[in-house]
Parts: sequence; C-alpha cells; structure tokens
Amino acid sequence: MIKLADLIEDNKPCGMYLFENVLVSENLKFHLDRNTALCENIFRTYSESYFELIEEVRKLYYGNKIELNDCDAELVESDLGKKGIHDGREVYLDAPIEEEEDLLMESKHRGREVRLNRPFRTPGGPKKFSVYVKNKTGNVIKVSFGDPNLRVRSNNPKAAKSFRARHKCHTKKDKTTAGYWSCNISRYRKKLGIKSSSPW
Amino acid sequence: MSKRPFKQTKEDNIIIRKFSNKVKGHELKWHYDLKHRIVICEHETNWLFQMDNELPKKIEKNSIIEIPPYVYHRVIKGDGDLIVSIKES
Repeated sequence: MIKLADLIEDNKPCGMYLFENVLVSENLKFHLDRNTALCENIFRTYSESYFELIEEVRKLYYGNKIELNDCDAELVESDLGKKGIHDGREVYLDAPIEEEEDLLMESKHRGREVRLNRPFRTPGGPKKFSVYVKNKTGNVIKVSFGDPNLRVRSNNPKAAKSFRARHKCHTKKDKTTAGYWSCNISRYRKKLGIKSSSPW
Repeated sequence: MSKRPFKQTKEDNIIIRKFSNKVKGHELKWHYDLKHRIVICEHETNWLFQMDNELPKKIEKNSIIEIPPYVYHRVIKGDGDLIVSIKES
C-alpha cells in the first residue's frame, strides 16, 4: 500500500493523534492513518475540503480529543477557516487571497501593476523576499523581509520553535510589517521553493 | 513562464506526457485546464492523482481519468517515471 508520507519529499512535522476512539471523517482518517499533520493538509489550500478538515480538527482540539503539534495547534487556534461577512459576501477569515482572487487584487505600485499579498524572492537584495501590500491609507507598499545570508530553517522543529518565540510570532498580525511575513512565510512555501511547511 | 515539470509530444491529437522521477514534489502544482481532458496511463505506477476536494487515488493502469474544465487537480509523485496519454475535447 502506498504511504503518502513516503511519497512527499519534504521534512514533515509529526501528525495528529486521537486521544479516544471518536468517529472522524474519511478525510481526517486519511491524515491520521498516514501520520500527516494538519499543516500538511492534503487538500488544495483554501479549498472547501481544506477548510472542512481544519474545522473538524478544531472541534476535536477544543473537545480535548486530539493531540496536535505546535504548527497544527497554532492553525486551529487562529481564525483560519472561520467564516465572516465582508461587503455582504461570505468570506473565509485569516486566509490570504491567492490564485484567481489574487488577480482581482492587482494594484499599482510606482505606476507598475503588481500582485498583492504574494511574496516573491528578491535575489538582487537587499532582503531575501518582498511582498506588495495595501496599508491602512490604501496605498500599495513593498515590504521586504528575510536575511539574504540566512537559510529558512523551519524544517528544524527546534529552530522553528526558537524563531517563533524570539520573534513573538503569535503577536504578528499586521501585514505591513516584515515580522508578519517572516512568521507566515511557510504559507507560500510552494511558490517560494521552501522545504518545510512549519510556520517557523 | 515557469518551466514545466514534464516533457510531451503530440501524435494525432493525443498528447503523450512524461513526468520524470527526478521532478520535485513541489513542482507538481494544483492547476486547472480550460478544456475537458481524458487521461490514460498505460503502465503500472504508484503515482497518485487528486481531484479538488477529493482524496488522492492511485493511478490504475489503463483506467480512464476524466478531468472537467476549470476543476483543480494535481498528480502526486510516486516511484519511477509517469507517462500518460491525454486527449482534449
């Protein structure tokens, strides 16, 4: 039988563990059977099943029925996957807008069309990554972050934990700061070619 | 445009696409196509195919995978190369 964990090359954080025998969905069972962590969610990021899985794990977590690693606990403690109303439309919270919706968020920075909230590498420096975001006044600004001389070591659980503590990642909510993006860089790991999915 | 994680040739409106076992897992991205596609793999493989909002499934030899337009999907790397025939309609 194929173990999905064996097929994915990245270093993976440990998976979820049920404290008691509770009825779970086929999708969650798939993750449990393969020791796949929630932050390695097998579904397409921000798809319906992606959010449903997070919501299911969140309920089990607050019911003290599942043990999660630090990364997964941070995920379910956030508002990710919860719904809110914005401009009369139901939207998912804490989910940076990407893909098609991202296209709608194209904006101008210094006269040039740019995509918002999508970090990209900046080999020319002075920082490792940059991202365009809108600030409170509605202007598009470029936020640069990451030391170009250092590697992203979020695949090392000890280094990741130390980074999160050192940078107080749980307090980083402002998208116009380098700290927010440094702490959440793993959300864009595939686009940026970063190995680990740990949020530092 | 980014480099594609496969090589392909076209014969009589059938695309023969080869994914090398050297491709990195993260290069196999979720995507959708504009046209309806029928995909067949004619060899044994343990590569997986995943449709949006579904769990991954093993790609069975000679089984037909239908991919409607605008529906996200991806392949998940297994051992060895993966060669598939693709017909668009």
